[in-house]
Amino acid sequence: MSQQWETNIRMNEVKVNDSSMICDADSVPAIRCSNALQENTRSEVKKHKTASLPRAYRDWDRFDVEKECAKIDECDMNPPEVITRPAPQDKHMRNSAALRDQEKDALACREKDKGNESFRSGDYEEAVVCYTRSLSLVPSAAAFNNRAQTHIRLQRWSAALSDCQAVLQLEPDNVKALLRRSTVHKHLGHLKESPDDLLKEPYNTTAQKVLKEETAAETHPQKHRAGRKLFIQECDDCDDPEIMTNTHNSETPNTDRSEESVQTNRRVGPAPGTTKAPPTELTHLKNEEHLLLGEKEALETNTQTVSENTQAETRRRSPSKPRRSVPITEVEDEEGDEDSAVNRPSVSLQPSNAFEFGQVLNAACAHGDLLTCADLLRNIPSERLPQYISTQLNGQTFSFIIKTLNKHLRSHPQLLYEHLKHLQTTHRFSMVLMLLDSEDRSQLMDIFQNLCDVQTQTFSRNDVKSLSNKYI
Amino acid sequence: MSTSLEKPQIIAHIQKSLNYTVFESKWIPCSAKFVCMGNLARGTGVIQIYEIQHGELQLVKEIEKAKPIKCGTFGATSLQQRHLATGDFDGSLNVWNLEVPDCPVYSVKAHKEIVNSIDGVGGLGIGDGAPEIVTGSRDGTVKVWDPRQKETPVANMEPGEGETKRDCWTVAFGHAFNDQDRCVCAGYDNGDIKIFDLRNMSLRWETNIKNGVCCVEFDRKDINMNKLVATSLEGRFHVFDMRTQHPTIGFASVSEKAHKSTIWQVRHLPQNRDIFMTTGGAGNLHLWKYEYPAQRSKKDADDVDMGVAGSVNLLQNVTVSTQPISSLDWSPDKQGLCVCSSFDQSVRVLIVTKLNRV
Repeated sequence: MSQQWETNIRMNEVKVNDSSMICDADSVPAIRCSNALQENTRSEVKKHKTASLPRAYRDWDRFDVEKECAKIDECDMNPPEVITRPAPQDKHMRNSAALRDQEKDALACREKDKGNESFRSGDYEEAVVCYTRSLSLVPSAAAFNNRAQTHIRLQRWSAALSDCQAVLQLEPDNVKALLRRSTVHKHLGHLKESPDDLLKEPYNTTAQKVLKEETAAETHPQKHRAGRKLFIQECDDCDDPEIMTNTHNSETPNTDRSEESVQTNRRVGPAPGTTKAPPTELTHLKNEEHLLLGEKEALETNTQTVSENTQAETRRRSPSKPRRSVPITEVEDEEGDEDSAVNRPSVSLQPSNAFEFGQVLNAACAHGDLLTCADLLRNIPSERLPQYISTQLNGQTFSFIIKTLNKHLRSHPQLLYEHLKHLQTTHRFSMVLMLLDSEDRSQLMDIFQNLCDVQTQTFSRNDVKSLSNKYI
Repeated sequence: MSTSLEKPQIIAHIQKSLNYTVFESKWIPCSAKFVCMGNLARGTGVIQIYEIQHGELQLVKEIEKAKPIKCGTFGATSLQQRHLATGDFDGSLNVWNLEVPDCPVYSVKAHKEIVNSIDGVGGLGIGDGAPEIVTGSRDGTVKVWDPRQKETPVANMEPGEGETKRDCWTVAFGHAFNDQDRCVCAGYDNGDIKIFDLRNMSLRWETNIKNGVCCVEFDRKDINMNKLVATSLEGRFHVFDMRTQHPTIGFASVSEKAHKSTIWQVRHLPQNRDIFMTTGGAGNLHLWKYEYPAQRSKKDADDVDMGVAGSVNLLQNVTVSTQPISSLDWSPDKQGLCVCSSFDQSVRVLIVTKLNRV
């Protein structure tokens, strides 16, 4: 136990002892005595009972109906006063006139603690009452902040908003107040104000999540515009992870990344080890999100740089450290639903063995991701294709490859030809060919038609024709 | 998910052997001093004030009184006055000014037999309402006193004519969230727990937990009744959720077996109402945390509200002595600092760490 505390408490004690005794006998409630009150009520009731109607038979001659009716009407208008003990109300405001500053602070703190405890046990109404009491004694940013959070739980958005404003007046940089205000804005439908609050805190994980949701909400109504969305997603099941940004510089140091990267892997910004100034990258990212414009070439080059950087990092990192990766997937609206919301595998697109190739291909096939498949096919040498596919060729895969070739590799006829040439030497090719359906056959015919039209030096029409015979 | 290093640790900071049987130890609010009360060998009562200085206990004052003192509280005085209210073996209630201890500020012959337990409310800036002291005695009565009213108690809860008198072993104040409302909870040696409502002057609830009730305490005195912990003989304690009272079932409760012996005391941490410490007859201390259920109340078959009890987790336990620990008090000024006294004639100052991370 620290000496500091001992000296502090002794100073406090002296202060308390020396403080002048405020005669607060008036403010203390009276001695509890409930019996006296009950006697009063009894006597009142007795007085009432003395007034009675005339009894004797002859008195009825003197009985005046009109007068009695009038009396009854009067009685109704002035009902007898019921003496009840006033139900004590919870005091929302405390009488602070008699207290000094030190006591006020202590009481306000105590009320705030009570509020916190009520909040933790789920009694939100009670918590609001306690915080209000604390604020009536000593207005503090913490109490306003906590009350704002309680209002949010109770879904009282306007009250929460005013409390957040109060905090920010006292402390303009209060992170919690900014976050809470943006939550309130979101619920109130003010979608413009809340990102501004969140942008002030680029490193806060909750802020990032909420910002992502909001920009998604913003972009949905504008989906018809041709644009490019940037989704930053995380891939947990990869065994060779690293942190990625789209402008990642490959010469950044990697030595002290390991521990920090585990914690910071959820951030959009780069790990603290980077040399680049974080805000610029972040604003660049944000600009891309907000602008929603792009061109396909830029998209392609970006994908390439992403994949190159991934590979560079993969080679240089030691594989033993557990880390997560944040690959950036790009979504093109005009491509339709095949390519949208795709989770690209982050294993490098230059597989070195059949297993890796198979993994990538299967993943791509499962998602219907022709782009990845196209990248994959572009990156591998054609002679290796049969080796990579090995015994895994089946109808579905084959159909998928055909589609890819047809759609994406039209611009590279040379590559297309080479792939086709080697594909037909793959194991199980003949069997799969037998089982092709009509759609696939038409695709194949398309491919060969294209090839025929193309004129190159490496292969001639005859070559194409002979190849096509093998397929169709 | 906390590892063993993250759990709160109970550390014995200072230990002092005394030459008398000490029954109760209480912190003096707003200071680094505490009071020990007990029974000297020659049959007289003693009050000692110790101060913590540089990791050692210094005796500041020793006061001897005619009768042995069983219990005491600071609960009903203001922060400036800090008068100690004590109950002694003779059944008297005295309020002392520790600066001038020769003559009590208030004195009354409260009971015919020993005052087993005492509690105060309305002072120290905690809660609204008049300062009041409640005493429970072996003569079976529970009396509420106001230091401004001499001779007669403000309220007296005694067994009716012809009913057997049961020893009242423990009393506690609660539900004092405004000027008028107060509740007194009393535990008896036959396992009865009764709650008296002082606003309506009526019995609000009673139950029986099958074993003598050693100690009852509300988690906070100055709020709407939230939780009540009652400890008993044979190593069992019950936590009642006091927010929802069902007409027939009463309050929901959860019960734990611990200590394997009588649980002598339960004390809630003043800074966090969900953490409490129980002391056992084998000289051990258990630190517990209460977790609230997802829904604190639900509807029963007839659509009447009934409470749902949560769960209690053991955070830490430690054995500091071989004899029962008869009293424990948390410091209201420093979280985790507590003083306990046991029947091996010693008093210990303990520090419980990491309570802010629980």
